[in-house]
Amino acid sequence: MKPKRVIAGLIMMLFVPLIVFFVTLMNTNFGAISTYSASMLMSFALLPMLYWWMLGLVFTILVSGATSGVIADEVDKGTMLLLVSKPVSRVQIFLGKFLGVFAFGALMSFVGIFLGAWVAVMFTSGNIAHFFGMLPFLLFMFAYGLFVELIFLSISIALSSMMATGRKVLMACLGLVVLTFLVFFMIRRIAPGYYETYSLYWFDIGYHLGNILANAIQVWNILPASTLWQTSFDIYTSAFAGATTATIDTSQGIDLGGLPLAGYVAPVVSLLIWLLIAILLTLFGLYKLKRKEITN
Amino acid sequence: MLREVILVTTEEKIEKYEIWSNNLTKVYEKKENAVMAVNKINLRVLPGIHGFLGPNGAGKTTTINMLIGALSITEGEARIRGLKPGSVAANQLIGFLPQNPQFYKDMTGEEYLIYMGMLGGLSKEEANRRGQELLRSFDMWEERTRQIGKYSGGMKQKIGITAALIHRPKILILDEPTANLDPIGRQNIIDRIKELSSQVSVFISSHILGEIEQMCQVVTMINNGEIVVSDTIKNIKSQFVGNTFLLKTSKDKEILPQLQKDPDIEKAWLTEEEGGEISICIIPKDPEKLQKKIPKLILDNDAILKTFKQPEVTLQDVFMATMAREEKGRGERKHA
Repeated sequence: MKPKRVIAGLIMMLFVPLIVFFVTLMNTNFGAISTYSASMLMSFALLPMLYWWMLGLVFTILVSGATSGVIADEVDKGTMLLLVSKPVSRVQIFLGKFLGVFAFGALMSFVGIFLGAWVAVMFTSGNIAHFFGMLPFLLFMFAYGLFVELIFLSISIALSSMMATGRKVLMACLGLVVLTFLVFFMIRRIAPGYYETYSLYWFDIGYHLGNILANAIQVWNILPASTLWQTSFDIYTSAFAGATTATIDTSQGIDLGGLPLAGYVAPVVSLLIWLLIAILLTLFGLYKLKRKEITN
Repeated sequence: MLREVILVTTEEKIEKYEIWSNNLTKVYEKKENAVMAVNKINLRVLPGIHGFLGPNGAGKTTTINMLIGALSITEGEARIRGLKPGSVAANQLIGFLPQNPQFYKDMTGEEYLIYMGMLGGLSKEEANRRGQELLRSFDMWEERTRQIGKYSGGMKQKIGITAALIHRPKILILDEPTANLDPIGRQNIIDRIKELSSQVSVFISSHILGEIEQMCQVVTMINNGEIVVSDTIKNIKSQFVGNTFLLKTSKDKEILPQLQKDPDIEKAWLTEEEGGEISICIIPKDPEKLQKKIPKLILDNDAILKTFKQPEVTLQDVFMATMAREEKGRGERKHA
């Protein structure tokens, strides 16, 4: 990817989360609370936007964009013909492209998460200790980002092995991203009854990702079980039962409340389903490339 | 013309051929009907420069793409020095330049060669060293830091050939390497190919017969997916000596259509001789009948006869006659 596009991608990733972060915490007196409380408050403020925007809408579009043409455009433009004439197997070609995009996505999410957190901390409290206090959470979100990348990369590369051009693949992936992070999001907010009656959660990638993330945070104690982050996070995922849209009072420190998961699907089932889908799609993409007729 | 009957040889003998195929066939399955692009091709390519001729759509590129593993083989088999086409081992032996090669336009020539060298199994340092050697050898040293997207057609062909040579292949497969080049560019490429033939075998496809005649001693002609003839140029030409005539009159344009409609004429077309003279090239079914007809033709058209002779046969003449015979034979087989 061209450097300008990479920088534009990073700015897009950071822009919205940082604005939401500053608005959420603008009245917080960080001098009056402990380092731990300050780190946790900052993590709570970042989490929803990391899930929905930075590692959600923007990241999945970036990954899809980077992957969409790796096979389709190479075949369409004719450069794949020279590649297959070289002493490298099609498996090696596929893996090389898969790992190349994966590395790019990992780098983007790493820089976005850590740079975003550093900027957020420096422009609010200015206390580097708060940034280090957030490190376990940031590393966890980076691992989560790799999981999201694996899913969308596998979808995109499978489509790229099948479709004629990268543009068509990108359109299909954009449709999926919009469905995941916007359409189902709207259905959950506007018509929760239909969402439950027709079991739409089974098809909602956004719910499954939120389900996995929320459970992992609680099981591994990445963040305290607090309604302060659960209510804002739930706006985007519907992962919790009984979550409200109550205003979060950041001046009160961290409460020790905790909401149960919505329980539509067990988190481990969500994880296994999407891991299996990612693996199968990747293998399918490889199969399609191996059988593809390359012409000029 | 009888088609060659090729016996399948043992593994040991197959390996003596640079390229070998037995009943190599490619059928494209389309929704409504299947298209047979290549039909039972038997190739026997020995070391040296071997020409692969045919008109557009004859099946040359499809055959080559099967040999490099880009297309699957529907029926039959092929071998590159005894190895299966498309395998890593076979591709290690070949260097390939496709028709109208496409490159990564943002890469410089140097970067592209290093990348191709590494794909060919060289280390980065080795690829860099070998790339520099080839860039100098092909007079591309000054252009090495320029992006390939800004190269001329001739430069792109040179980069394509250097990329094909970078991993020291044993066989160079070139699909119409001089297409889209100006005459100087074409001659440069031809000269380089002739120089390279001392180090590698070359299998070159083209429909520009004069160039093939400059480079090759052995050719295989293909039409409608089938081999028409495969032999040395000398042998092929010797079969056609005595059957081609050149006619030059003051009214060639009027006389040509009349010859083309004549049932005793197999084929007639305008051809350019050495020195730029345009004449009518005639392949008669019966040379004696033609020689008797010419005076009447001249008189009926009130033309002036300038030349009527038998020229030295060129590969183009042979090709046109061979294709004409092949088309005729195909028509007869259809009606039978």
